Amino acid sequence: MDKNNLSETFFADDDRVDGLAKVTGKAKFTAEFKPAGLTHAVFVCSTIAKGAIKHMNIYEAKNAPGVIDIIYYLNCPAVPGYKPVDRIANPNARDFTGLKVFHNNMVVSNGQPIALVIADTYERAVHAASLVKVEYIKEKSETDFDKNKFNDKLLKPRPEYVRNQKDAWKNAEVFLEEEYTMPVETHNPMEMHATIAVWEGGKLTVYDKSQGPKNVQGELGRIFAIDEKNVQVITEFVGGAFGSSLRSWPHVHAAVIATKKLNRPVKVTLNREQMFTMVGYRPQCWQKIGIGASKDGKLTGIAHHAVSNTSSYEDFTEGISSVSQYLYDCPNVFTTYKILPLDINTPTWMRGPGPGTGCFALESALDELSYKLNIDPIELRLINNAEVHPQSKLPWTTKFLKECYALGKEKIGWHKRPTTPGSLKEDGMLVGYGMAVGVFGAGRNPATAKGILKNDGTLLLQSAVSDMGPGTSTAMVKIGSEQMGLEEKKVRFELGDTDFPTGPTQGGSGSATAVGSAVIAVCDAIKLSLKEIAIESIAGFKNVKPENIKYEAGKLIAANNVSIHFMDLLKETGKPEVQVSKSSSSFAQRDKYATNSFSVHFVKLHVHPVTGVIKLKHMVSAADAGKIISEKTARSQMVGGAVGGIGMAMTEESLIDHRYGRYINSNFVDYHVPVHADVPPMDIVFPNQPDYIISPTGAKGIGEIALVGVAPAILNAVYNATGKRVRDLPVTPDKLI
Amino acid sequence: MIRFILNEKTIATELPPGMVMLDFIRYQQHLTGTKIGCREGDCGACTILVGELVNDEIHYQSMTSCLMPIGNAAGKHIVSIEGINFKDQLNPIQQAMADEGATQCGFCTPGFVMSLAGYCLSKGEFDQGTAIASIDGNICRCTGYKPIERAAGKMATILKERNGEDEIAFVTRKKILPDYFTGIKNRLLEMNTAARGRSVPDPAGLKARPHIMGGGTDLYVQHHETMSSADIHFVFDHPELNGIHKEGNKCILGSSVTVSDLKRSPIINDAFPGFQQVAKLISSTPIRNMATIAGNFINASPIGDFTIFFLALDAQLILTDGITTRELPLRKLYKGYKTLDKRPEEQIEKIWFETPGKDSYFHFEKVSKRTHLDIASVNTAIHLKLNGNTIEQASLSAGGVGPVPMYLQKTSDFLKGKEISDALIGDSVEIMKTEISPISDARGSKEYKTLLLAQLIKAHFMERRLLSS
Ligand SMILES: Cc1cc2nc3c(=O)[nH]c(=O)nc-3n(C[C@H](O)[C@H](O)[C@H](O)COP(=O)(O)OP(=O)(O)OC[C@H]3O[C@@H](n4cnc5c(N)ncnc54)[C@H](O)[C@@H]3O)c2cc1C
Ligand code: FES
Ligand code: FES
Repeated sequence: MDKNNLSETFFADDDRVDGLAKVTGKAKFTAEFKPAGLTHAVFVCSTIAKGAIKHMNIYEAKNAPGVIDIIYYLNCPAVPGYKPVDRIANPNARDFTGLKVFHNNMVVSNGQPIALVIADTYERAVHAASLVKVEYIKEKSETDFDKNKFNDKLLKPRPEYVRNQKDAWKNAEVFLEEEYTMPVETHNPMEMHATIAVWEGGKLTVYDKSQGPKNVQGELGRIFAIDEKNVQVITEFVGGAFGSSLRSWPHVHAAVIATKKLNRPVKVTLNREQMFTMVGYRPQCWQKIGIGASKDGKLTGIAHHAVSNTSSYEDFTEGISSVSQYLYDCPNVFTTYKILPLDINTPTWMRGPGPGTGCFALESALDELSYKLNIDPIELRLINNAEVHPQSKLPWTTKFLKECYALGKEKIGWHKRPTTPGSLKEDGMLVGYGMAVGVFGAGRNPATAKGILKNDGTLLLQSAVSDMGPGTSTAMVKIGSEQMGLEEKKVRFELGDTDFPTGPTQGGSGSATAVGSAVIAVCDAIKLSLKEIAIESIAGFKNVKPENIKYEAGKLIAANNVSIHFMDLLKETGKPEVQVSKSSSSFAQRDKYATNSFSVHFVKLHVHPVTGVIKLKHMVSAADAGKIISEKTARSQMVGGAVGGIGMAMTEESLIDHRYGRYINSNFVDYHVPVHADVPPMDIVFPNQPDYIISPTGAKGIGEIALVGVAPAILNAVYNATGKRVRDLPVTPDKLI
Repeated sequence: MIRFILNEKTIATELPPGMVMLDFIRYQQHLTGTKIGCREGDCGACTILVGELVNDEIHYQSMTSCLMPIGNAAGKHIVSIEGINFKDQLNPIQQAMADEGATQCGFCTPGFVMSLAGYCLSKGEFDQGTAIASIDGNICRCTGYKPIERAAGKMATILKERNGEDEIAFVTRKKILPDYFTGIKNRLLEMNTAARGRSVPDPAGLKARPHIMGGGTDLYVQHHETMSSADIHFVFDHPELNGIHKEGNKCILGSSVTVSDLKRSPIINDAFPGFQQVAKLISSTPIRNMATIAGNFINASPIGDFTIFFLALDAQLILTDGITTRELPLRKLYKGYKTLDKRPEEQIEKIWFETPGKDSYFHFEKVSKRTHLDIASVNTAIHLKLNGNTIEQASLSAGGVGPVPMYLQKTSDFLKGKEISDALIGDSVEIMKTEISPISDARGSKEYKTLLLAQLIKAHFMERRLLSS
C-alpha cells in the first residue's frame, strides 16, 4: 500500500500523525486509487418514488462511446445473499433487508439506483447514463411525514416504557405539554462516497469509504458467498462520514456485482445529489413532551412521545424518547416511540443518533418549564440531577455533569443572562443566553491490535479500523508512546486494511476506548515478553519474577537495580523485534454500572429585531468525556460537533417535494451546512476526569456529546433573546419575524 | 490550442475549451490533491490559484476549478496544491494547519491551503479579519473552523512583515511558495506575446458561437453536461470588456468586470461607502473572483444581487451583436421569467450608471436562510435623491418577490416628493404589496417573503436615519 512517505518527524508531540499527508494533498481517498484497468461507473436513478419499471431502453446508452456495460434488473447476475435464508439449516441467519440492488423492477424510492453504466472514463459514463430511457408504472407514493405522523394504519409502534404513573405530569403544580419537530438532516461529509471493487483470481479487493472495514468485509463475504479471507477491504483515509459509512450501501454491492460480471476493476462514485438518497440520513421526527414539577422545581412526571420515519423496506430505529428515562431523576416516566414507513430510502445513524433528537425536545421542554417555574435553568437541572441511574438505580462509572455546569456557566458569563426574555439589547440587537445538556452511551467494544516493537526503538501498531477524522491514529500513537515510554515520533499506527487484526466500526464515540484498550493490552504483553527474554538471557535478571521487574522509559529494571534498555536487550539477544496481537473484550460490568458521557452547551447570541437574523456571539461546551487523551484532537472534535449542532439548529433541512417524493435541495447551494462566518468564538472545557472502570484508557468518548444538546441550547437562547419559542427546527429568520 | 502554465509545467492542449479545470487537473494531469465536493462552486474543495498578467504585473486570485473552463486559463498560471508543495518540508501555511489541528478528515484541507496561498499573494491588508475572509468559500464539515481560523491568523502575522515588498519576492524568500514562482511572470509574458492577436475573440464570430461565457459560475451550475463540449465564445478576459472608469458622474463598467474588481475599485468604493459590507454578503472570495456583472444580469435570476443593486441605480446596458450596438435600460431587460429583451447573438459590452451624488442615499439589503455564502431569500436596493427630509426622486428594487428581478415602479413613484416619516414608510409598504408576486419555495413562503421585504424597506430607512443622525 502506498503510504505517501509519511514522515512524522515534522510534527510536534500533540499534532495529528497523518497531518502531513492531508495538508499537502497527498492523502489518498478512496476514489483516488487506480488499480490497473480501472473502469468508471455511475448510476441511473429512479425518478418516481413508488412503482415499477415498465421498460428500460439502454440501446443508445450502450452504444455511446466508451461504454463497457450497463447492469440493470434484466441482466444482473444473482447475488447469493439476497435470497431468503434457509432458517432450518441456519436458525440464526437473517434475511438481507437492505435494498437488493438491480434485483427486480420495483421502485421503492426516488433516487433509487436502477442501472449502473460502466465506461472507460467517468465523463463517458455520466454522458451515457443520461441516455438511458426509463418508462415506469407509477403508484401513489407517500413521503409526507407531517401528513402521516398520526396515521395508525402506517405507524409501527415499538414497546412502551412506563415507570410508575404514565400521566403524573398532568397533576403537577406546574406543567406544560408541547410538540417539537425536526426535519431530515443529511450527513453530507465533504468527501462523496466511492467504492472501487477488484475481482481477481477468486479474491475480492474493495477500496471503500467506510467507518468499519471489518464490517464491510464480513458483509460482502456473506452477501457474495466469498470466504472472508478472500475479501480485503482497504480504507486508508475517510473524508468525513458522521455515520453515513457505518454500513455498506447499494453502491458498494453494485461495484462488486460489476467487477464480478466484467472481471475488471470498477469504481462507482456518487455525486452530491446521490449523497441524499443512497447513504442514509437522520430521520425526520415529531416529539411531544408533557412535563410537570412541583413549585420548588422537583420533576414529578415526564411523558415523551416520538415518531420518526423509516423506509418502506427496512425498520430503522434509534433511542429518541428514551433519553427521558434517565437524564433526570423523575419518579414517573412514560415514553413511546413509533416509526413511520415512507417511500424514501432508509435512514441511518447520524452523529449523536437518538439522544441528538431526543435531547432537542427534552432540553427545550426543560427550558420552558424553568420560565414557568421562575427557576434558573441550570438550577432546575441541578435540583433534578440523577445521582444514580433512575431506572436501574445503578451508579454511573463516573459522572461529572455538575462540574460541567460550573465550568461552562463561568465561561459564558451566565450571570449576564436576562431573566425576562427580550429585555436585553446590545448595539440595537436582542441578546439571549441559553444552555442545554447532551448525553450519550459510553462503553467499550471488543478490539484487537497488533504491536511490533523493533530493536531500532520504534513501535508499529496495527488494527483494522478506519479514521473518518476524529484522530484515532493520533490517539493510538499517544497511548502507545505513553505505555512504552517512547517518543511519539517513534510510534506509528496503521489502520484501514482488513488484513490487520480485527478492529471495531468507528461510531458511537467508541473507537478510542476500544482500540485504545487493545493497544494497552498489546503494550502490556510486549512488556511481559521483554521481561521474559531478559529473565532467560540476561545475567542480572536470572530467577527474577516478571512482576518484580519494572518497565520505565524503555528500560527494564530489576529490584537489584540491574537495568537494560529494550533496544539493547533485543540486540544482545539477536532479536530484531517482538511481535504480539492482543484483544480487549467489551465492557463486562453492565450489571454493576450505568455508563454515559455528558456535556453541557452554552450559547450567547444576537437576534436582529427587524429581520430575525441570528448571529451567534459565543459558545461554550463543557464535556465529561473521561480522560482527554489528546487535547488538540479532543477540542477539535468538540468544536466540530458543536458546529454540527449549529447546522441542526439553524440551517440544515432536507426538503422533499411530495408530488414526486424527490429532494428539492440536494446540493450545497440549498442544503446549508454551517460556513465559517456562522461560527462564533468557542470555548471548550473538560473536567478531564478519567473513567478507568470502563476502560484502561480512561476515556469515555466525545464524538456524539459534542453535538447532542447544542441545538436546544441555541433555541433556548433564541427564546431568551426574543420571547419567541421555536419548536420546529431549523430556526431560520422567517420563524422570528 | 489553449496554452497556459500549470504549476511549473507549460501546457498546450487541444482539449475542448469548455472542459472545466478541475477535470483537466484530476483526470488529464492525474493531480488528485484538488478535491471534488460539489462541482457547483459551493464547497471550495477544488480551489486553485489563477495568476494573470495585469499591465505586465502578475496578479493571483483563488478560483473554484469546478466552474472554470480551461478556455479561461489561456495565457495564465494555474496553481494546484501540488504546485505549492516543497519537496522536503511543509510550507508555513501547511505547517500552521498541521500545528493547529486544522485538519480532521483532511478532505477540505487542500482547498483551505490554496485559499490561504491566494491570501499570501493578495495585495490587501493583513490581519485576522482579512485572513478569515479569504477562506469564506471553503466548507469544512469536521473541524468547526476554529483551528483553521487560528492557522489563518498565523499567516496574517507572517504577512504583516511584508511591508510593501513585492508579493512574489516575499513569499519565495519566506519559503511560503516555491522558487519557481519568480520565473512565472516572464514565462507568461513570452507566452502572451507569442499568442497576441490570436487569443482575443473576434466579435463578428458571435453568430457562429452561441454560448457566451463570462466567469462560468452560472453556466456550469445550470448546464454542466452541455458546456464541456459546447462551442463557446469567451468574453471573460477580453480587454475591451474589462475595466472600470468614470466620465463626469457617469461610471462605466466593462461587462466582464467581476465582483472582486468592483470590490477593489476606488471609484466604486467612493461612490458606495458601504460597498465592502455588500460584497461580503455575495457568494465567496473564489466566486467573486470569477462572477461577472454581465453574467449576473443575463442569468436573470430573480434574486441576482447585482441585478437588484443596479436596478435601483437605473443602469444602462450597451448591447452589441458585433455589427449593431444599442443601449437598453437594465429595467427593460426582463420581460418574463428568464425571458430577456436580448437576441441570443447580442452580448453586453458595457454597463453605465450615474454615481449617487452628495444629496443621494443608496442602500442595499439582503436576507438569506444562511447569512453567508447563500443566495438571497429577498434582497432590495434603494436610491433616493433627497432635499432635507424630502424625497425628490426614489428608485426601489427587490428580488425574490416575482418571476424576474423587480424594479418597484409604483412604490418608487409614490415615494417621490414626500417627506420621510413612519407613516410614509408604512404606506409605501402597502403599495409595494400590490406590485409584487412572490411564490413559496425552499427559500421561504410567499407570506414570509412579503413580510421580509416590508421589514427590509423599513431597514432601508432605519439605516438612513442612523446615517443622518
Ligand atoms: C457558489 C455560488 C454562489 C453564488 N452566490 C451568488 C450570490 O450571492 N448572489 C448572486 O447574485 N449570484 C450568486 N451566484 C450566481 C453567479 O455567480 C452570478 O450570477 C455571476 O455574476 C454570474 O456571472 P458569470 O460571469 O460567472 O456568468 P456565466 O456563468 O459566465 O454566464 C451567465 C449567463 O450570462 C451570459 N453572459 C455572460 N457574460 C455575458 C455578456 N457579456 N453578454 C451577454 N451574455 C453574457 C452567459 O451566456 C450565461 O447565460 C453564485 C454562484 C455560485 C456558483
Ligand atoms: S467542487 Fe465544490 S467548489 Fe468546486
Ligand atoms: S477536515 Fe473534514 S471536511 Fe474539513
